[in-house]
Amino acid sequence: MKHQNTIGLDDYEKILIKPNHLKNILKDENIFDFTDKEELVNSKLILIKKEFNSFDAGFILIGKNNNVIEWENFKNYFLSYSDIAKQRCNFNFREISLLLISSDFTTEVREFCQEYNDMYDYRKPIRLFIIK
Amino acid sequence: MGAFICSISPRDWPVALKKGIYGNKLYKKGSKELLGDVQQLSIIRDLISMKNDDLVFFHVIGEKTVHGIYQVSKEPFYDETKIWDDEFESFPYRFQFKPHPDFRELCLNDACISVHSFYEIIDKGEIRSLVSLEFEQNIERRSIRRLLSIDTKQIIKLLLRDFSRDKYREKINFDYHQTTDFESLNDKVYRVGSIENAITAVIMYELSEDTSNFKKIIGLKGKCDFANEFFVAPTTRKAIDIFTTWDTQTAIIECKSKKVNVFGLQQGLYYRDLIYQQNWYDKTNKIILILVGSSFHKDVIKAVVHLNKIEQFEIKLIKYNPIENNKWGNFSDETPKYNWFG
Repeated sequence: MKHQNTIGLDDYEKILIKPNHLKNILKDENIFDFTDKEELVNSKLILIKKEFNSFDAGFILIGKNNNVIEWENFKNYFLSYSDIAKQRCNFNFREISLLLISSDFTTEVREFCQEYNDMYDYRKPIRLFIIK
Repeated sequence: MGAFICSISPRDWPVALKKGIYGNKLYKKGSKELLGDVQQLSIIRDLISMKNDDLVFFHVIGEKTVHGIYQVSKEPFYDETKIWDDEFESFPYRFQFKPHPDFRELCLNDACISVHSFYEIIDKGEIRSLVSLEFEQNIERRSIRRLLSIDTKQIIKLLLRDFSRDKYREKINFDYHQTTDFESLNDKVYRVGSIENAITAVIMYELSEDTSNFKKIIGLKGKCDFANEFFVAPTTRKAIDIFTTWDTQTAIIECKSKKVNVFGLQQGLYYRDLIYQQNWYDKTNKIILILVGSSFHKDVIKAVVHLNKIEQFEIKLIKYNPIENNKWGNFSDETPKYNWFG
């Protein structure tokens, strides 16, 4: 499945300490700087700013779950992602991408993400990372 | 209540105004060659939802003015009786109108505003239904445009703002035309099943009715406000087939004469996102995406099964079947449930 990758065990903790560590994970976006980490307590997501030479270039929203992300978890992440897209980006889903990290994802979640990424082909894709 | 703005030539406007009748063409300009089916059905599509008491404004091309405020007095019909002095045309796709009783004084003076004043309010985003009154390259030429009722207040305000008795000399002596022999516009719909404008015309008519098969199928009770060929945003020049609102709901309706494919779904989802981003849009209202076609590609069905698991994505697949010898259509809800196995 496209937009599904693996991630190291301690990569998330490294991102929490130094958001720019995302450059090592998102190789296709490593020209950007990732800064200003904001922890969104209610949704258990972190919001990171993406910049290029101090120009705003959008956001990355990251969620992590040590257990398998099944449908209900995923739906909550997604609804939070939608709310943040609405509040921070005026519903412009091209300005914010969702990145989920987990030990695994259920088939239902993977299939949803596949269809979402194919049909909303102008939005940033949802990216799934499995902890290796 | 609906509202329309209709374009007319400066030659034909005085006759239309005096006789309280507007007509749209049947032939290609300056000839006796019939307009193609797509064009005739686009005229029918744009007229068919008009109802008595709907508001009407007139754009007089050439003079670059917008006149109002009138009210429909006879719903659209087909009649070839000669009224206008044109060598080729009888302009048979017609409706009749009269001055709106609340604004009779303006109509007696044929009150109008300049198109530039009109464009000022479009540029400010105070009119959602229109981006231009001009005929543009690569965009369908339309003489009749349905407006969202919310947009009419701004137009009326402009007409009142710019009204002054000093501007107008002679009062209009109305001499209303009596239509006796005519055909219902509904009877002129044809080629449902092969031309997209035909099924869109059916839907436009059914949305204008208090109850209808289409409204029942999509769960729309009561009256709705709607407009067709609705530009998503001023510069993108992308038009939604039908945009409609009722209660706290909004729907984008995209019609295909044949099978709805993945591109149709992608396009509808994109248009929905663009509407959400417009400043005038109330973001607390959900937008339902309704795709209408004679069938649906299996990849569309599969995608809808998954996307509909999140309520905010609500997508309906509405199938139409031509009936009455392809002169009308009926509808059924084909939206798949999660336990659909393709």
